Amino acid sequence: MKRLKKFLVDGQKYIFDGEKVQIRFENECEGLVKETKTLNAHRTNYLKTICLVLNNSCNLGCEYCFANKGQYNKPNEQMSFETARQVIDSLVTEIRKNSGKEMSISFFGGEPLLSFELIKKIVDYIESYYSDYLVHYMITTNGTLITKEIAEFMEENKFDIMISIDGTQEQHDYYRKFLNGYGSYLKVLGGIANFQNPKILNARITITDINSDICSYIDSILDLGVGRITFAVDYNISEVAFQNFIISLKNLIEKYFKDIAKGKLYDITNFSRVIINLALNQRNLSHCNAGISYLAVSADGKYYRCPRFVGNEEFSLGNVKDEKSFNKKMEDFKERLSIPDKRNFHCNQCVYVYLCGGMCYHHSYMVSNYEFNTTPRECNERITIFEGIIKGLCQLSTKERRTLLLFYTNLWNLIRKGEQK
Amino acid sequence: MRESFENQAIDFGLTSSELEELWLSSKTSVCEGGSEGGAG
Repeated sequence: MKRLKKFLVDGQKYIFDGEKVQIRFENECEGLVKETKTLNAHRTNYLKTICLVLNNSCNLGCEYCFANKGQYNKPNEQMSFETARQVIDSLVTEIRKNSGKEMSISFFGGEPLLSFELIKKIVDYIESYYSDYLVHYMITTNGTLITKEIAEFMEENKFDIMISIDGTQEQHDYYRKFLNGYGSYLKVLGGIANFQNPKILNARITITDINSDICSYIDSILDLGVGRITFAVDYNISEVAFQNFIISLKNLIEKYFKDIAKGKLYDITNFSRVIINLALNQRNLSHCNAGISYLAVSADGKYYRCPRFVGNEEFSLGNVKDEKSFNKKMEDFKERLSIPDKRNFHCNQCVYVYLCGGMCYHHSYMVSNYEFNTTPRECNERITIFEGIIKGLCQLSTKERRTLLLFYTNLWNLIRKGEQK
Repeated sequence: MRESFENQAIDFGLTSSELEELWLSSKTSVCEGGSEGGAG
């Protein structure tokens, strides 16, 4: 099936080819364009990434938290080292079976830094027993507990660090409060200040009714020294605020490309993942590959597709100790989403399906009670991004596009160990 | 390693080896567990 969409940018006609994930000039005959070899984005069909939900506790009490203020349905549960060790050993067995050489471990909570001693023990275990593997560490934290020691440890081990920051102090503190009701913004700033190179940090914005105008405060976050930003819309956002967000998102994309032209470079990951797929002509066959190459383990030792499903027994994939049942459930799940044609009619008709990869299962589930649905708001947001980026890339010169891609390479290499140890 | 990087229509100005390095560096940054879905 042909997936073509025309764009007119500064008087020049372009075509986005959704099958090839490629932008070309309209008058350029398809046959004359250098032959493309469209490949699938980095996705393995075996388990490679584990998200460890280290605890069901948090020192904040954010109203919008999907995990019920970090407690899921089992307050104060803590993961034992034995559970973590067992999970990592199983992960390595799976990777070995598939002749892989890399794994990723993501630390999550609750607030994972409440379990910093456990994190150190897990990293030490992996570095001692699996030093022949290329291991990537990731953490999602509220940023309030980052001491100099913790920052040094994470920088030394090249952690990919995501810290929640919801805008200006006033916007951030509206929801992100300590249990005593005080806002957490200033503490987060203190945590960021402990890093030698805060450019590696990824500020994670949750878009709600009170910070929907993302373009208005993005610079205030970049001014903190972080080099990366990721945003996600709260599924409880009102329709008025969502429409305001879409307008602001269009402004943000325009600003992003104007900043690139001015030489002000930073990474908005919602944009960069689209840009590199266009640069490399890669297809996304899933949103985040949860349930195939990525699984979460709850603090009490159960597998789930991702941490967002933790505590929902309907989505439990079995216990860490029961491999047989786990393998059966995984095979059933893989079968259901092995190819995008099985997804749904809406995605199959979409020109952007391979740039997109589909919806977040959890978001779809929360909005429509079915995890494979598309949701109008998420489609609206994604298409706004795709079309804004295609136009923005066409407006840049070759030199500016090159500068942007080299910037991404250098930035991402800071949080990535070398190919060979 | 990817098989080919000679594939652009609009020019991004990178050599094959620079594209390969971009591809390698993007492995962990844009992959599993994008943390983009949902709230909180």
